[in-house]
Order: sequence, then C-alpha cells, then structure tokens
Amino acid sequence: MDFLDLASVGHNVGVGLATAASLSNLLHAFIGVTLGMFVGALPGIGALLSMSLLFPLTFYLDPVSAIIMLAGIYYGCSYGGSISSILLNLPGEPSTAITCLDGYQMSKQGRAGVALLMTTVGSFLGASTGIVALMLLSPVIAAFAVRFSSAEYFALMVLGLLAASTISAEAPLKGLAMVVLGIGFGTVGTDGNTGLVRFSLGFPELWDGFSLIAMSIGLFGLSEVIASVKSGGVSTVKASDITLRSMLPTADDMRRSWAPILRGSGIGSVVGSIPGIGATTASLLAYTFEQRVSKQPQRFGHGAIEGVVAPETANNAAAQTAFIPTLTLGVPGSVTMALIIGVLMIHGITPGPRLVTESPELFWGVIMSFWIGNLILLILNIPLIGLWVRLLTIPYHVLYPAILVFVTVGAYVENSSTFEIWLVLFFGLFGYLMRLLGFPVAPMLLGYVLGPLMEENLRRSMMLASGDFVALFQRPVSGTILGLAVLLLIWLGINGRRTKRAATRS
Amino acid sequence: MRDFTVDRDLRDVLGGLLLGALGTFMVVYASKSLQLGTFSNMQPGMFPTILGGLLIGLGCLIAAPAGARLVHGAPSSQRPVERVAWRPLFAVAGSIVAFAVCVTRVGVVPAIFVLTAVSVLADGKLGPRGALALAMGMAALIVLIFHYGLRLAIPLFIWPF
Repeated sequence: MDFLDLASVGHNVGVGLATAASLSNLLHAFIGVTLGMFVGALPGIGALLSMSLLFPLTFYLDPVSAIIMLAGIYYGCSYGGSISSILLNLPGEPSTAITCLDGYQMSKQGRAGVALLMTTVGSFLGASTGIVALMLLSPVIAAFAVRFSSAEYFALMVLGLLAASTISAEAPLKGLAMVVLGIGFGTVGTDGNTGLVRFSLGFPELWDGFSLIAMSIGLFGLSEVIASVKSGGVSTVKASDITLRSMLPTADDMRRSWAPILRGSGIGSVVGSIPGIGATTASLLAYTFEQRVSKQPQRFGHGAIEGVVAPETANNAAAQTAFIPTLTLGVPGSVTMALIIGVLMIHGITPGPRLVTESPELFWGVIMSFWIGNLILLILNIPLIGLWVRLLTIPYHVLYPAILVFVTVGAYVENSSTFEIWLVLFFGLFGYLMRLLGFPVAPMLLGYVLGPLMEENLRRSMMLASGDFVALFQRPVSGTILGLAVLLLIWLGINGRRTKRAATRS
Repeated sequence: MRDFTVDRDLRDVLGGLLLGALGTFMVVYASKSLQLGTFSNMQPGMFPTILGGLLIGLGCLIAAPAGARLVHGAPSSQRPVERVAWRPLFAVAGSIVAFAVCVTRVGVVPAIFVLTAVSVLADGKLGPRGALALAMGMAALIVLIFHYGLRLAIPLFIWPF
C-alpha cells in the first residue's frame, strides 16, 4: 500500500486543482461558502435547511459543481455560526453552541472583535488540518475498501446508520425507529431487481420513489418553519458594530490561543471522521479538554479566549473530516453528508472506494475546492465582518416567508408538477407530527438515502451465502463491523437503563 | 386557541402505536401483494417485511414502558413537551396549499404573492405593506434564478381570460 506516497499526492493535487479552479467551479464554491456564511450567521436557519433550499438547483449543475456548492454551504455554516454565538449568545449552528459560553462574555467585555478574528483564524487552521487528513487518509481507506464485497457494505451501512441515529440522540430507540421508517420510505417505487412497483398506492408519480427534494424540503424546511415561528410580540436584535481595529488580538491572546488551536484541530479531525459523532460533539469535547488542561480553569465561562478558539477550530476540522467516510466508503455519518450522497446518486454516481480511482477529477476536485472555499471564507470574514454582523438584524418574520417561497417553487420546478408540492406538504406535516411526538426527523432521511443500497447489498450477500445470516458474521471484516454494531446496541441498552435509574432516583 | 399539551408518557404511547401501525401496514402490504422469496433468493416483499417487523418491535419497545407508567399512575418525567403551534401550522400549510392551487391556474408569480400573503399570518408581525414588498422581492428573485438563470420553462403568468 502506498501510504503517504508524496508523488501521487502531488499528482492528485494537480488533477484536483485543474477541476476546482475552473471558472464555473470557482463560482460555485464562492456561491456555496457565501451562502453558508450567510445562513450560518442567521440564527434559526441551519446548514440542513439551506442545503435543502439549494437542492433543486443542483439538478441543473454537473455533479462536481453541485457537490462543491453544497459542501461549501455546509462548512461555510460552521464559520458563520460563531458570529451570532459570540455577539448575541444565540448559536447560529448547533456546533457553535458551546462558543456562546466564553464568546458572549468576551463581547460583553468589549472584546467581540478579537473573538471573531481568532475564531476565523482557528477555523481556517482547523479546516486545513481536516483537509490534509482527508487528502492523506482517503486514498488509503479507499484502497483497503476496494476489496469489500456486498457483505462488508451491508455491515458498514448497518453500523453507520446505527451510530448516526443513536450515539448522540436524546432517545436512541426513537432515532433507530426513524432510521427504519426512512429505509421503509426508501423501498417505495420500482424495485431495481425485478422491476416490480412497491407501495405506490396508485400514484404513478411514485413509481420512481419519493423524491429526495420533496422529502428533505418537507422534513427540514417546512416542519422547521412551523416549529420556529412564534406568534405575537415583535422581537428585534441589536448587533454592535465591529471595527477592524477592535479585532487586533493582544500578544497575550496569541500566546494563549496557539495550543488550543493545535489541540482543537486534532480532536476535531479524529472525531469528525467517525460516523455518528460530528462537529457538535467535536466542539464540546475540545472545550472540555481545554478546560481540563488549563492551569486556570476558573477563567472558563468568563471570556477565556481558549474556550472560544478550541471549539471553533474543532468543529471546522470535523466538518472536513466528515467527508472521509462519506466519499471513501459511501457511508454518511450525518444527514448533511447523506444529502451529499443523495446528490451524487441523483447524478448516477455511486459513492464508495471506486470513486477515488474511477472519478479522480470529481474526488480530488471536490477536495481541492475545500481549500479554495476556506480561503474565500478567510477573506470574506476578516475585512467584511461588519456586513455579516449587520445580517444578524434580519428578523425571522421576514425570513420564513422567503424560505417558504423558495422551497415551494423549488419543489414545483423539478417536474413542473404540483404533485411534488403536495409531497412537500405531506412530509412537512409528517415531520412536524413526529417532532411533536419527540422523534428526531434527521435519521429518517439518512435511512431513506441508504435504504435502497442496503437492500441491494443484503440481497446480494445473502445470495452468495445461500441464505445463511451467520455467514455475515464469519467474514473477518463484515464480522468485525457487525460485532461493533452489536456492542453499540449492548452499550445503549446498559446506558439507557442506567440513565433511567438515575432519573427515578432523583 | 387552547393549548394542546400531552403527557410525556401518553406521547410515547401514541408514537409507538403510530410506528406499530406503519409497520403492520408494511408487513400486510408486502405479504399480500409482493412475493417474499427465500433468504438466498430475496424477492421484493422480503426486505419491507423485515423492516415492518422491526418497526412493530421498536414501536412496542417505545410504547410499552410508557404505557405501563400510565396504567400504574406513576408520575411521568417533568420535562416539558412541545406544544402544538396551531396558528403557524395552519398558516404555513395553508400557504403551501394556496400556492399549489394557484400555480397551475394563474402562474408562478401570482402564486408567490398568494403564498406570501397567507404565510405572513403565521406570526402576524409583518404588515400588509411589508408582505407586499417581500412578495415583490421574492418574485423578482425567483424569476431571475429560474427563468433567466436556469432558463426553465415555467409558467410565470397564466391569464385565465
């Protein structure tokens, strides 16, 4: 195995740059990260919603540009999210929630500018570490995974879905149920093997299955809006002006920041690459780690710069390494990654280890676009910070009608048919109902995207093993992966009982 | 409108039952109208049947402990349950319905105005003037992106007379 083969890395960088630096891809990277920054800064609109918003547009783009743009929104969001955390004490993204603790304190002490500058620098360095890890590890993992057969893929998907729906979930059973339900929704339409139509309920429009657009827009766009709109009482947000002069860090800030940035990059890169635990967990871990190693832990929560840069570095590193399992194994660790996989599949590309060798322009082009995107974010952030700060003052009651217009028109233009709009409404109401019942909707989309692949791989591996389920456990790699899945289930069972006992005791 | 709050345990019973019902539907549908096949040669009905079975099982696991607490009258957890936001629910759903009904009859641009007008009722913070301005801006943006940018053949205006 050519581990750390610098010549091939150099070649790949060349291939990738040639793709990423084309005028159209530069433009899409720019649109993606700017939009990501924009929606990240706005509290209440997350990466998922804005990726769903732009989803219909990606049909008319080539797959490379589509992925570059959607990925840009995703990592752009983790830059923008810190702005409202620091200035308003309102996290723009879940992964920047922990930044509120010390970030908002810094703003109260009049040091918002410094916090914003240092998070931008930390974010950029964290993302860079993540991209380097992505560039070095992906070819190695892909070379290993190329020998996988259907049994290993099935096992990987089981573990991936299990991890993504349960580990960081409030109610793991409910997350699991939603994944299974999502896989069920994925079986609707024409069966790939026999050409038989399943569960179409008499709608010829469903012969191709539910559209990913209608589902993501309904589940995340519509039900999110219904849940977020609060009637009565006009709320206005005031954001202070940030001057460039106020952003200059002191020598003390610099001295305190470099080690947290390094540690945050490491923690974020490792945590982000594991399916199921993403940028939010990475930022939490980085914060608690800094607090533990600090000589003055009492400063945390009172405007410690370490508590701002460490989580912000970690979540950006994690945002980049999340692409490792997604692009090399085809197993998304989160719903945003599932959307990326969904876009690839709509364009007829199956993500997996063959992607690296068979479409190097796509694979390396997307990775190199991350460098470009992060550079653009660095430039957008420092001189233009005043502009982003002013965005925070756009109230939600102006945003949500605009979101609704965009999602409805987006669903309609897919086939110029109102059927898609009714589907959006159906999934919106269903998503809202599940939300009320305390079920997370994100795992459903994850299951929906992976479901058809899972069925195909299960069917094929069962055929090869002549119907013997035990054979799945006897192959070394699939056996190990399924063993991990079983261990995870056991751990969840024990953990669930323990928390329940703790709850009854108190 | 009256606040509609549900006990946490009751909520889990309802959620579990809903899942069980969906799972039962899948199993019944798959076994009635699709072939199951064998494990070594799976037919279209096999996978949905397995999924339906899993859903029924998970539904029971969620509903049963909550149901037991309800029956025994044990105090349910104190965590607050999300309330139904009736006004946003009706206004948002209504605006989507209005768009779907209008778009094939009068075209995309008038439908955007109708959608905006209905959806601002969800919180009632944006007045009629603001709504009009927002609708005009959104209509212009949509025409720019989809008609001029992507050159899609969508009916911008349809004159019914």
